[in-house]
Amino acid sequence: MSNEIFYKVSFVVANGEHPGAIMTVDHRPEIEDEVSFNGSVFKVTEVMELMPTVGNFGFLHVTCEFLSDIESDE
Amino acid sequence: MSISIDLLKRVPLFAKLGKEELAQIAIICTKEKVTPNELIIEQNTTGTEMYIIAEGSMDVFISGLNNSRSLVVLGKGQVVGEMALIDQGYRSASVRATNGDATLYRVESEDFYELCQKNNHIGYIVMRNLAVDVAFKLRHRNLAEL
Repeated sequence: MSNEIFYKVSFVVANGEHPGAIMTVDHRPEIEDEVSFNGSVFKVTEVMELMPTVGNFGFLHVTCEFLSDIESDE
Repeated sequence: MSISIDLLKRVPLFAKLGKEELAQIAIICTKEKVTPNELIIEQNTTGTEMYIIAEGSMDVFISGLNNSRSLVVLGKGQVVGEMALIDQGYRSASVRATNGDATLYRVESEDFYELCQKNNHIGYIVMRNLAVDVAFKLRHRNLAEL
């Protein structure tokens, strides 16, 4: 069995219309981190364990706030 | 090209499976390239497959008579259409690629059940992980609606 730990993360955007996202990431998000999904950048404001670990997967809930849209090259 | 074991290791649905078991899963995965905004699953239709997101992201949304509402964006390592593996019922939501290109791997329920019949350990672990996945999505929805 691998010792690598992955995190399945529920990202919820505070005070916004964005539905949030669920992604698997290699590193545990920390408060103040910047994350991007669905064309926007968000700042992490809260991290908590959502469910107990299963195998090499941690299950986290992250609250974040909108920072900016990612500019397209097109 | 078949799905890599390295990618399957990052899919929570296959947590606690060993390398040899992941290799058996890889055999029943078929690669599909997806264009931006392509509709993958349509709500209220029937389907027999689920998809693993290898690259890109998918918007899961529900539609009513006059409007539609996004429920969540799913990224790398997540699965969509997994309820077809459980109940073979109508699709509960639609799934569309977001703005960028995406790569999916399709798993047919018939192939999946055949594999589970041959290897009960895979069947037990994946079904247990499917329950965890559904619980996780429900918890996400609850928190998103606060």
